[in-house]
Amino acid sequence: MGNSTLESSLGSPTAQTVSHHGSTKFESGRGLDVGTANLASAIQDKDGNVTIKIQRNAFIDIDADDYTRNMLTKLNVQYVAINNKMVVVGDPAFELANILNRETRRPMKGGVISPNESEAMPIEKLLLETLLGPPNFEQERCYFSVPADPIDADFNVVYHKGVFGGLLKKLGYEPKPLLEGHAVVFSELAEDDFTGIGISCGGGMFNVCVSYKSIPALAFSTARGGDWIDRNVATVLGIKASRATAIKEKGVNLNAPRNREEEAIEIYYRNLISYTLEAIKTRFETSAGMPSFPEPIEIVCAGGTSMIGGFIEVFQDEFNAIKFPIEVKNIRRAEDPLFSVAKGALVASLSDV
Amino acid sequence: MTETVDIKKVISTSTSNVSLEDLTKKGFKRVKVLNQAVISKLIAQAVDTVLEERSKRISKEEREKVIGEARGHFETLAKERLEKERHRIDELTSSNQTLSSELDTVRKRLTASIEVQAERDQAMNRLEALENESTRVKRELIEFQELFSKKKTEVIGLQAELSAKTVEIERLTRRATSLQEELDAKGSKSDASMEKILAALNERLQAASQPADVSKIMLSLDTLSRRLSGMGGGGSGIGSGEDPELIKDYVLGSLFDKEKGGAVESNISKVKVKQAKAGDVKGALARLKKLQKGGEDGE
Repeated sequence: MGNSTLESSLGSPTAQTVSHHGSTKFESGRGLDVGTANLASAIQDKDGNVTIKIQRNAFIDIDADDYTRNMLTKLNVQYVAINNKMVVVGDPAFELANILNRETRRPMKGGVISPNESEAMPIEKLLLETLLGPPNFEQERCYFSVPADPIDADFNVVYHKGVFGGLLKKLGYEPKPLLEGHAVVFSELAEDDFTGIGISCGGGMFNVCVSYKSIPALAFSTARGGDWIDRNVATVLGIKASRATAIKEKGVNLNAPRNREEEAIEIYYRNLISYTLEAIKTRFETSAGMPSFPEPIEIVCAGGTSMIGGFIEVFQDEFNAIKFPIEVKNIRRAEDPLFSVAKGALVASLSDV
Repeated sequence: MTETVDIKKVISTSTSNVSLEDLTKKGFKRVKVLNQAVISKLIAQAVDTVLEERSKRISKEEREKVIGEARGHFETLAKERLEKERHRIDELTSSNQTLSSELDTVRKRLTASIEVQAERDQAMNRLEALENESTRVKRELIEFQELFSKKKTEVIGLQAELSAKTVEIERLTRRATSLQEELDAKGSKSDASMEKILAALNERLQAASQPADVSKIMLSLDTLSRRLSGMGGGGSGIGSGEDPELIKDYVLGSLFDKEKGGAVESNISKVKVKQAKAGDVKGALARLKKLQKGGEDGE
């Protein structure tokens, strides 16, 4: 356990315990965003600075030979050799897929572990090890994000939750699952006493959580996210989904598409947002236990899919087009959209004493 | 050529206009008035009368001469007319031939066009059939690849399960032996129930050689472990509550651990992970703690 030996021998410390990594002292407790597109961990040092580590949740296999192995090492590209195959993992896998005009392989699909990529689990374990490192002490708390049950797909998240919980336990942590939308509420809605709607716009799903004073009143997910856009754009343009992702992430403004590719992205984004808002509205109208809020609430969007230019404007447009059952005072994007879930999980972890 | 006389003009140029006043001054109180139509009629009658009188006096020679001249003139005119008509017929014939030729050409082109269209339609049908065939083959290939991948995954999973189960059987057999020895030593009366549980365990482990979802295996092993724990009673090793976790860990291990199939070579630990500073969470944390304490200051 490295630096955690002393703490381990003294038993589990509280959230105020400070541990050491080199010269930096960290609070105990970790946040982990287990996303379809990205994995991100969050940790806070004793001065309150939050450090995020992030890895793209993807890999690609290439033929193994000594030259390739040497070149990957020289280029600082992370790889794993399994069954005579070189597996490039994380961001370089994504870049390599675009260069080779291939698709990346994804350990997760639609927000949960992909049934087609069971071979990827050892790679997932390695990725988590690089993000979290060893715990500061045995059974250090780690809140990790899990999706809420989807309203438009026939699966539950029990297996997914169990596997990642088991994996974190194997790494020496005390795993605690946290709904992805709830994590957004923790990181973004403090000013509103953790009351409002947090939406995590991820690669595999959109996760929604309606919270009243930090208590989730309603949480669900929809099985469409950034990957859905990429797949559809790729189909209509006759390109690989990885290529569509690259175009999307290069800097598109949904309010001013400049070419056919960007127009396709804008069309599918608008459709996705409209679909999600309709789903939220329907769910609100059909749920019995919905709280009635004394004041208008705030909607905050986080996640990589919300980072595209013009997202909030399009969201507002589509919101105005429907009769939303709750009075909303403002719709905004999270301060750190890509890190919001990890930060929310960190807040939950640090507050859990 | 016959010259016509403009009687109206002649009258107009050979007469003068005199006002009624002037005529009165000259002593004319009544005048006779002839209009131009009447004058023209009178002149025409006079001319006709003169010509009729002259024709009665024309000689036979003169008549024949006139007739001859008229015939000659007529023949000349007829020849000219005939020539013109012939020329026109020639032109029409030539034009007709040209049109017939053009018609033939157009007909040939039309026939050729119909043939080309038919060939094109045939080619398009063939192309469509080939495209459909290609799509079908591609779809079948994808399905085959998916099936192959699925089967491959299943085989890998089964191999892992089999390996895990083999080790598990060995471990549980050892534990059962150990338990049996322990129970024997304590003179326990629970041999029958122990055998029953072990039989169920063996049955489950045998079933594990069949394809099964890992989560289901975990569940069944958990259940078996709980039953074993419950049976242990007075503080034996099995009743310590450690077994379910061990079993679960073992299954998770087989899911995540590739090292059993050969050493994993990786440089992941040497590569620096992408790192970023994010906005602090101190405010959110303080508010949440305050809320959790019912409004007290959490700091």
